[in-house]
Amino acid sequence: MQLKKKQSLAELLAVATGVLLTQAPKSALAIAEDLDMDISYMEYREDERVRVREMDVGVKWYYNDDNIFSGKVITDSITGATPSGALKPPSAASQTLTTPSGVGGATGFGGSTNNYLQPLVDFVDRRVAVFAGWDHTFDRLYRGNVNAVFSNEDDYQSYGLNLGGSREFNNKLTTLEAGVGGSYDLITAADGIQKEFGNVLDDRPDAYEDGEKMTIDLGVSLTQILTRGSLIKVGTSHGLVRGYLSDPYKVVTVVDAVTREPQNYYHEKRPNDHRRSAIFADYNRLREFEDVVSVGYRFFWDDWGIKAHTLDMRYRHDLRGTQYITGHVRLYKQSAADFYHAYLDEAKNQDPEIGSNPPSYASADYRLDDMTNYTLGAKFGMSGSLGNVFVRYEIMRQIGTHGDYRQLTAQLFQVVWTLDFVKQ
Amino acid sequence: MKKLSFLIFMSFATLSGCANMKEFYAPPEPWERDLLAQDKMIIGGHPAEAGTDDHVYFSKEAASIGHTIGGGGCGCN
Repeated sequence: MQLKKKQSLAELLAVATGVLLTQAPKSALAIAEDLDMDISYMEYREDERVRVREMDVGVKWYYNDDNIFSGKVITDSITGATPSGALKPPSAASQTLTTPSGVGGATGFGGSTNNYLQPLVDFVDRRVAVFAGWDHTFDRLYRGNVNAVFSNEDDYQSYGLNLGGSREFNNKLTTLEAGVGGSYDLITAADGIQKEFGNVLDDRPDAYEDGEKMTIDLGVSLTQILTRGSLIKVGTSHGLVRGYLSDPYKVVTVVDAVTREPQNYYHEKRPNDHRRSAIFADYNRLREFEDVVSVGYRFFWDDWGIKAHTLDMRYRHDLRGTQYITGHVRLYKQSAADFYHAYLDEAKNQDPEIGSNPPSYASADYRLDDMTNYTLGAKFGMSGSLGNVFVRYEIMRQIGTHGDYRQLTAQLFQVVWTLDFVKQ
Repeated sequence: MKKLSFLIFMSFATLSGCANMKEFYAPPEPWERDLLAQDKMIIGGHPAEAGTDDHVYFSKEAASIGHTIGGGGCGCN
């Protein structure tokens, strides 16, 4: 009787193994012809400032069990107005002298009759970015990937290459990932790159031809499965950027601090090196086998004196059928860069050309100021025979501390349609 | 008696601590990973959404490294 039981168990195992073996090629066939496509449209709008329309198409081709190829094309058009860094003039009279990016709007420096620079200037720009990637599984535990990116704007080109790898441990409960990314950027501003701390109203005698910068980033992360419905990822990233790091369209104003009367405008000057670091943690947890709570935190610091905290929280609630909604809250706070100046004070001899005590670097870019950002968002998604679709809306409120344009409200709308092509 | 009460209290505390601990750390067996395999459990969310957010915040804030490295540079306004 006992022997008979053993035989039947062996038979069962044989049958089970046979089923697995006979099913494997079918599974591989399905995977070999699996293709995902993402189509995304995004509209971003700031109150009375920048407006962006963006269209993305991404494809992921599961070539076989070991190789995934991916590609993506992003096109966007940007219009609107952005702060140049110039202070608002004390009187209503002003003149547009420069454009921040791309073509369109007013051009050229000089020719001013009242020596005021327009603090908010119109611009137009377009961007096309192309991504290509290859993800390869070396064996059961090791994976590697390589991604290339090329991005082109009217006045900016970027070439990047990222390499990454991962190793699973601990019965695949733990995954260690590492990556390195490098990029080369070429800045070709509409009127040429200007001399840093060059007087804007000069006739550009020292204009550079192009600006260049190199970036290298390193990242390491560890993902740990905690329970049947929760996991955590912790990691750190470090980066070095070197080259022309100023914004060719941003200026700093030298003012009489009492009357706020602008005395001179200079092209901003930032250091030629930027070392950046971050640590982060992300936690996902399933509730009641359906809803998902996601919490993420990042701490960023750099050698420009900026420290930033980011807290990101999402709650996804599954509705009936295949529909769901997600709520999103994001809080961000940063300290100012050491060289951020809303303006330079003539009385303190800070004029870069004629002052006796000019700063080594100065930028009035509002993005380098002390700042707090709040984002609220909502998303609705559903699955059907035509794939998965989600739409989302986000509103961001940005509150700086100094400068004339320290407050910003932006709204974002995005719709993403994911199609799965699997040959049966 | 006081000693016994303390022991009982400590036992309950330890047991309830273990129960809470299991809520946050009880690694699943290989055949129990169906829930984690769902797209909604991917850390960072949908790539199209994450990519858009990265680009927006990269353009509007000073902190520009963290969850991802590399990416398409831009002269953002």
